[in-house]
Amino acid sequence: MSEVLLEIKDLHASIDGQPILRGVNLTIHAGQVHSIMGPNGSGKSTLSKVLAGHDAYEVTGGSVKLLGVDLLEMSPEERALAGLFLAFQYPVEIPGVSNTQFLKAAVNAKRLHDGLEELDAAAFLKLMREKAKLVELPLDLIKRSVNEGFSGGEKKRNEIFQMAMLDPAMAILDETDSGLDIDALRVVASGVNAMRESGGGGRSFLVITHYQRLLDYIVPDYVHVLVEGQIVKSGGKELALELEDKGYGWIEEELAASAT
Amino acid sequence: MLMTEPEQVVAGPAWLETFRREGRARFEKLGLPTVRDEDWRYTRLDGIRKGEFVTAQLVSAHDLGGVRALAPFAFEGLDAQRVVMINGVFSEELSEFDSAGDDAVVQTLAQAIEREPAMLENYLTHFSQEDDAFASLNSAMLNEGVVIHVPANVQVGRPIHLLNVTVASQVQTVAHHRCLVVAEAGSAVTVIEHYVALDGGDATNNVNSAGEKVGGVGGNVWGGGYFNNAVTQVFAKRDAKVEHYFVEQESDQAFNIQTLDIHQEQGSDVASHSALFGGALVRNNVHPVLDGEGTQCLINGLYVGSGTQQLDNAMRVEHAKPHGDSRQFYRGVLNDKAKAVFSGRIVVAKGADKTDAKQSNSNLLLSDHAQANTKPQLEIYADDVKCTHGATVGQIDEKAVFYLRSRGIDEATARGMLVYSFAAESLDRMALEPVRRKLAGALVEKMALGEVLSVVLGGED
Repeated sequence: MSEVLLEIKDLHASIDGQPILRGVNLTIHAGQVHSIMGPNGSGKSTLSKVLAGHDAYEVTGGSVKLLGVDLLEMSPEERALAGLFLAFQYPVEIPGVSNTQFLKAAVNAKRLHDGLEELDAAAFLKLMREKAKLVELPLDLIKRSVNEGFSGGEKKRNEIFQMAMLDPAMAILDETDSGLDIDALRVVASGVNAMRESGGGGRSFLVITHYQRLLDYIVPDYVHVLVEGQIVKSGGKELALELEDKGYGWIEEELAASAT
Repeated sequence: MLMTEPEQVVAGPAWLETFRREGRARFEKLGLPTVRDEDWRYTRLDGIRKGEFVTAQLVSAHDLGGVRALAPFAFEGLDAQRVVMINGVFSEELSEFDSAGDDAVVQTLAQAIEREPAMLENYLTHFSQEDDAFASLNSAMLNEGVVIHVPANVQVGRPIHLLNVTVASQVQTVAHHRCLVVAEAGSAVTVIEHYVALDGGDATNNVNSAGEKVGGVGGNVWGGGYFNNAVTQVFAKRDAKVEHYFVEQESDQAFNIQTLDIHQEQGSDVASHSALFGGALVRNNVHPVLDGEGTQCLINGLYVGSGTQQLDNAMRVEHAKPHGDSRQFYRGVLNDKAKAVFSGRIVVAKGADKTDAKQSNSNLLLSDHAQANTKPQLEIYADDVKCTHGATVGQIDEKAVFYLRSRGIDEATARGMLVYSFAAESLDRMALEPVRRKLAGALVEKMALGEVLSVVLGGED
């Protein structure tokens, strides 16, 4: 089997003293696409933020390793440099900072970390053009301030564009499908699928979603169900269809039955 | 002590004597404002009130170390005419401007008194704020200044860089600078009023209160706060275009009261840009009167405070005629215990219909002890107008910091980018790229944004 990219063991996390994650276990190998589904409030977005290093969340137990290295010890920027990428559910608008400046700083920080030379203006522009095509993002949008005045779809496309620019080993998509119409969903998914195939197929994805619809386009290898901060059921892509059909209630009932 | 007589007062015609006398009478009647005065609520003038000021004297170019001493104050890449005032006194040696030919637009106040007395009298006495104590004081002490008179339809190619240098002195000095800009119909001119301080002078010729010469002062010696009380009057005639910059980069010993009085005729287009970096206490008054149909006025400013700086911006925009557009955009970045004030008054007179006035003031506080007071005031006496205003006081958006960091940008750079981009919005409105660039550098230096500079200035795409 391919190498282990991300290994989450018994992860506990809380916010403002309120436990949200209550022992998450998940192992993702290189090249795999895992999906986490679950009802509202189950901890899906908390998991993505804890993995990215958001300081509002306190990790109260467990471990996370990225390529064998302790992820929880790293700052958010170190995690990014180590190859983790989070596509935000709600991308942040940053007035005054152009996408170009921002990405140039990010790409060059990554290159510096990887022992590569910084890209010059021409090479950077070329890379931007190439990656922007993946998600059909117009260049004039890229020159504007980060996400400022972008539509919901443009923001999500910009996330995938950034992902393509930064070329991560492990990408987390946090409800990337929320707020997308069907056309935008197709564009975003095809961008992700192109990245899935690029780089020798070793890139891994964790796709967090509330709805099965996204998984028609980004077909996962595994589907996990998160309920009350724990993964309570895992299966193949057919599990997503079952959830779409029957909702989350039956799993909760199953849980309640087994607890008694 | 604010009305000490300069050693050499330019003797003038009778009207000038009257002008000074009236200024003096007004000032004596008004007195210095206090915090009980609504327009000065947030700014204490104790430092000025208690000051033992003497009139500053010229220092020779030789004593300053020649024109090289001014090199740090140049706007790199800007081909500008340079008018230099040292301690408020015109320095012919250090100045370099187009003085020959019919197109000559720059002259000293003394020259203008001789050459164009009628013009001078006409404009100097046409001042919109009769009840302003500091402007009255300036009139009372009128002795040094610059007159820029642009003939009709002349587009002045080289911007005029008016460099006001105060040299370190053991005594507290005061200077009352006056600048008059008259842009005749269809003309265009750009004026940069730049206030700086020079620590390293070898000598000053200032006289202390006992009448002794105080000279031979080594570098970095300041005898307490010094005071620049300046008034600039801008007259933009029909369809004229004037771009004015006030760049404050003085030492932390400076009290600087600036009053920019603008009078706009039909179709004129005036931009006022202010950049407040230096000074212990700066009061930046901007008073445009849109006194013609179809005028445009941009009032753009950036104040960047640290330490215990007090930066007070008082706008008063008067729409006197219909179809005037005014835009006020002021932004402030405040660290440490710096305090800032923005009061933006918009007055729309009866009959000034179709006025379109916008005002926005945003403040970024980088410390728990920094303070911003922002106060919009609208007085509207016309019926059919569009007036909007908005003000914010906030801190760095932590969501944005996390977002940038999640892309691999380190925290210091992320914060620096956010501070820089907040302030850059003001700089971006300035037409002159060399000025923008210099101020961007000043911002990076003052806020210790370090390597952010290369990121944000290098990536112009």
